[in-house]
Amino acid sequence: MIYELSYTALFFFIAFVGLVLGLSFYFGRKKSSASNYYAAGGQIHWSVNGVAFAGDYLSAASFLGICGMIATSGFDGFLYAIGFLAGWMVALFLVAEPFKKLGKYTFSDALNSTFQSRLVTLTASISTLIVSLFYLIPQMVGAGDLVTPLLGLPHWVGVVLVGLVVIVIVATAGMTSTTYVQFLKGGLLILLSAVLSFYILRNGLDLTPDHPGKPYHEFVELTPQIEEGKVKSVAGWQVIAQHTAGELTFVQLERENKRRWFHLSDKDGTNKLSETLSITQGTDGSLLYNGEARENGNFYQVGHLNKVVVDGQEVNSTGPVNPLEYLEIIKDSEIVRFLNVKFTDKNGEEVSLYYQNIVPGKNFMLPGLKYKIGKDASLWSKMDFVSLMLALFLGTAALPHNHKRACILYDPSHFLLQCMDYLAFIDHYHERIKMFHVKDAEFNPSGKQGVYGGYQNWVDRAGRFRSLGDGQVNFKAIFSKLSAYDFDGWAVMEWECAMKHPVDGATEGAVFIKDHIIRVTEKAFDDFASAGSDTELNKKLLGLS
Amino acid sequence: MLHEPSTHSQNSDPSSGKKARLGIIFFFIYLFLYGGFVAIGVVNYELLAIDTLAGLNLATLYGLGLIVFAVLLGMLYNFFCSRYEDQMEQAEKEKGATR
Repeated sequence: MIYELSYTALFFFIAFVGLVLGLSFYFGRKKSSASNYYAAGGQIHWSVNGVAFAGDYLSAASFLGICGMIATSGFDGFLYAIGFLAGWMVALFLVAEPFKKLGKYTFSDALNSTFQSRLVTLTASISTLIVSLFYLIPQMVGAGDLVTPLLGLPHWVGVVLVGLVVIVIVATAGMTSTTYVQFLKGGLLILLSAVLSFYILRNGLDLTPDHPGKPYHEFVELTPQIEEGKVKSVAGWQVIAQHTAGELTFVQLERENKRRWFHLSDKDGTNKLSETLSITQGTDGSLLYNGEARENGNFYQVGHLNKVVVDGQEVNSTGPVNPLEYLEIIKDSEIVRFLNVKFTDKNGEEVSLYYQNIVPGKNFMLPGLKYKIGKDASLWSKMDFVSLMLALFLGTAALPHNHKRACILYDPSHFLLQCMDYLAFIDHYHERIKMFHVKDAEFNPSGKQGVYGGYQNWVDRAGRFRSLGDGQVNFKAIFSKLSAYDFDGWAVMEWECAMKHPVDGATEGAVFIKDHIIRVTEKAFDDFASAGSDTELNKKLLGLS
Repeated sequence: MLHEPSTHSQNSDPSSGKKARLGIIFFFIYLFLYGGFVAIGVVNYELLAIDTLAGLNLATLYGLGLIVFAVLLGMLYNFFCSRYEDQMEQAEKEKGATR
């Protein structure tokens, strides 16, 4: 296409950028904490967040990319739409809840809270930067590609412009403005795609989809005279050159001082030359569109069918259709794809051609135009398909590792010697405590020694292990807490006493543990309603019987 | 009942475990259907061409079905998670009432 600056588009672009920058500065002034920056302070309504997520999903890559891929590769392009969504399933079902529970903002924070290691944090940060970089490159190239057709500006201007706007938005107000920008983008995209879909279905499918005041280009088909595989002459045209690119043959013809490229193909047993669209860059850097200067505007918007079949009947146009009819008609008809091929001709000109390729609808609506997976496909080709589907599925998935099988053996004596709060520890980690060592200890710091007691005998140390009941551990509180958290493991005695005889330690310890185990009540003490009542006893007490 | 934690952490969500478990179940249901699509493509590609409902071939029906099913699963997940949260809240309230 030849792109020109559209003032309407430029106006909407500037208005939208102005709006989102305004929003960013407004939220930027309110932002004060990390929570506000990374998680928008948790204050964004779920519906706004939902549309913002949809906006994320409908990025330039997916919204325009998938449409383009479907136009050129049929169902194989649609595979991306299926696979991208699968990535969100992973995020919703596996990542969202554990992540929320951890209460962290970023993936490296979440990793750090579990592993507490600078190396892990560093690795996560570096990998985040690498992934972001490789994610950003196609996004920025895409941004430039978008700005060119929409605004008619050069590619690099688009990249710089969009890059600057995004940096300002994120740097000023973090997640709040990012979310609102995505919300606006998502909302607009959903609305406008709905409008577009409505018009596409209303117009239906056509052999020559005309625009009001701009009829669809009639693609020329010529019959050449061929000798020994070479095009010798074509009625009304002068043969200039012939070029073979892979299995494809292209012929350059001239008429009225305009040179055009044609695709030589075999159609129903006879050789035909079908018109292509071409952009040629001369050795002096000049560009010609279909052999003419850019100003002539002789380059067309394309997208038509070769045959339209409705209920087994060939027609020129379908008229309005519903979505299911639309898909069925495409399946029964013949689609014209425009495929791109690039080569340098013998004069040193760089040629980029878009040639017509007719595909039966039933092939277009099946995987296989890009990824060959039929019976005759090779194993590698099938693996390409599987790895694509796998990569799409895992693309969005990244599960914070917080493994349930990492469990704790709780031993209060060591806590006491380190002056730690062994009761609060149960509050924090009760879900992971699976073993309990019942072991006593005491800590009596003096003017001469404390926690670092040196290599004294056990008896002489400030901190020493003791038999159960002889130390300072508050076992009543521990047993109460463990009962409160429904700990159902064993209370195992561990004995290492600085003074007492092991036989006495064991004998007394067993009784000590038995006395501390709390038999949990089945009913609350004030649960009168379900306690039941003895009518006979009540009557007797009241003197009624 | 009486045996509950003596201290509550600020953001504790007692239904969190249940929600996470449901998420895993839903994930595997989706994975199974997604895997089915890939498996048909690799093992019996020709099956994708057969006509099904409303003139759509199996490939299109399955593909669109996966998208619609994902949305449905998401809505179901939301429904059950909200219900778990309401149940937990109700249970907390009742506990408070007997005190």
